[in-house]
Amino acid sequence: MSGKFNLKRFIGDNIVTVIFLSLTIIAIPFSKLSLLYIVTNLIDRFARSAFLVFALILPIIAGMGINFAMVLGATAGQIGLIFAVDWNVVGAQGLLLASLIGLPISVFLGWFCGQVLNRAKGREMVTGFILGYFMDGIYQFFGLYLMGWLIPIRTAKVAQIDGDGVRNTLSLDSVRGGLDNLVRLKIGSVSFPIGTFIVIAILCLFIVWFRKTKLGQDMRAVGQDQAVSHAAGIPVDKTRILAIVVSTMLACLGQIVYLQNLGNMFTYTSQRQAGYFAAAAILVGGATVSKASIWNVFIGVFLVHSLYITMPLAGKEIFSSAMIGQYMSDFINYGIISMALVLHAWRNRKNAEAARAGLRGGAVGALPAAEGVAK
Amino acid sequence: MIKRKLVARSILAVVYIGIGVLAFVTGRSHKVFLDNPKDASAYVSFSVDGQKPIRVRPNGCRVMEAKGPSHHLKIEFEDGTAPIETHFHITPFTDAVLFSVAALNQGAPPHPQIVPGDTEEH
Repeated sequence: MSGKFNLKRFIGDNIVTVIFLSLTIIAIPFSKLSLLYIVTNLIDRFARSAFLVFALILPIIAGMGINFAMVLGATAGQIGLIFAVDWNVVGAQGLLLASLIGLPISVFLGWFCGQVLNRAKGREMVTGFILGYFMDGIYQFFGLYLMGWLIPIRTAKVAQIDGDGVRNTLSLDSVRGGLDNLVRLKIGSVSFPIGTFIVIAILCLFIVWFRKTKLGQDMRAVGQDQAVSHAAGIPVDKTRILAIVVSTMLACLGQIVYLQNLGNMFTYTSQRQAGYFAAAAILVGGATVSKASIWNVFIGVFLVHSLYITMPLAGKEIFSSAMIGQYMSDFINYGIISMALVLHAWRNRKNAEAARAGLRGGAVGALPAAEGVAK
Repeated sequence: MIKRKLVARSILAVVYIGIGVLAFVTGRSHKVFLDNPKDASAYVSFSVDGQKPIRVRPNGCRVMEAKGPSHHLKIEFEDGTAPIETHFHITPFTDAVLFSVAALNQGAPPHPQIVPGDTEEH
């Protein structure tokens, strides 16, 4: 097999990333934004979103596809933040308290999600997607009914006008920048939230270390072939549950990092956006539903946010309407998820056909980028 | 073996809860009101924990946020009266406290009045 770089094969393997990069490069001059403005915004948005996207890596390695049920973890993070804001615990301590409250909830939700996904093998992504909606209902019951009635709300700014339930939009001024401003470095007019970058770096090291542990290797084995893993003595179901639990915990922390940067929380809808964005970002970064790495996260987050920054203004210049530009960003975002999923399914089918042809003695070329079939 | 696991997990749980309690106590924000009486002769400026001072007019009441359990209060008078400096403590479950300039001027000990309920700045 030749090791020479093949441009056509490279583009074929990374078609999603190439399309996104091309769109961004086209949009930048039309947007008429300065490079400094784009870079400044990218740094801030990267610090805000990267943690959430990292939460998707482990379930992909374990063969469970995109964990759309990370919404459950995001919900747990939001519950922690509601309490931190209600109890008026501010700054980094508020974020720490929110994390400590949210993590046990996310462990339970992750365990529950893992149990359900084990009963839906081969259909993890759509099951996770619907689980997210199910959790929405439970969360709204908690936020609108239990809070204020069973769980007292101490602060008026958290409650609805009638005193029952958490209000739809919650200001997070008390914890805003609690992590970003912990350590901040200013170089010229560009400000770097070093505190958040340190946390992201620790997470990267954790993922690198985790993949080398026995549990990490078990997850990889389960992701490649569950039957062989089971025969080798790996507890397949337990490993899958652990992958989802860790992913949900990371989603909880990621949502807290995201919201402390934003400074504002749409109580009943913010958690849904977490899943869509993270899925789009990791797929844009070159990951598939069966293979993901840290680099996919970095590339994906930068590319998706570059498009979000430039497209509305580019749309305004091209179509004389910023709304069309915003619409195009969302359309491309969700279109990418669809395209990546369809490409993955198509590649798997081609590889299966090639394998069958090979068994019959024919020489049909398989697509090199395809991974194991999702079980 | 099981007993050792149980002990280890119990210790971890206690440490976990302890960190949460520490975060709550050190991160809890309180409102510190300062009341300048009606018959005061001058504006006063007050500052909690070295923050930027706030001016309070006669017959006025202003508020400053303070984070954590223990604080330093400094009151300066614009008519040249000697400033007042004091340390005070707020329990974690107290939302707001009130200092009266009149009471402090009369030599009252620096024990703030606890203001009940959710408060708005006057």
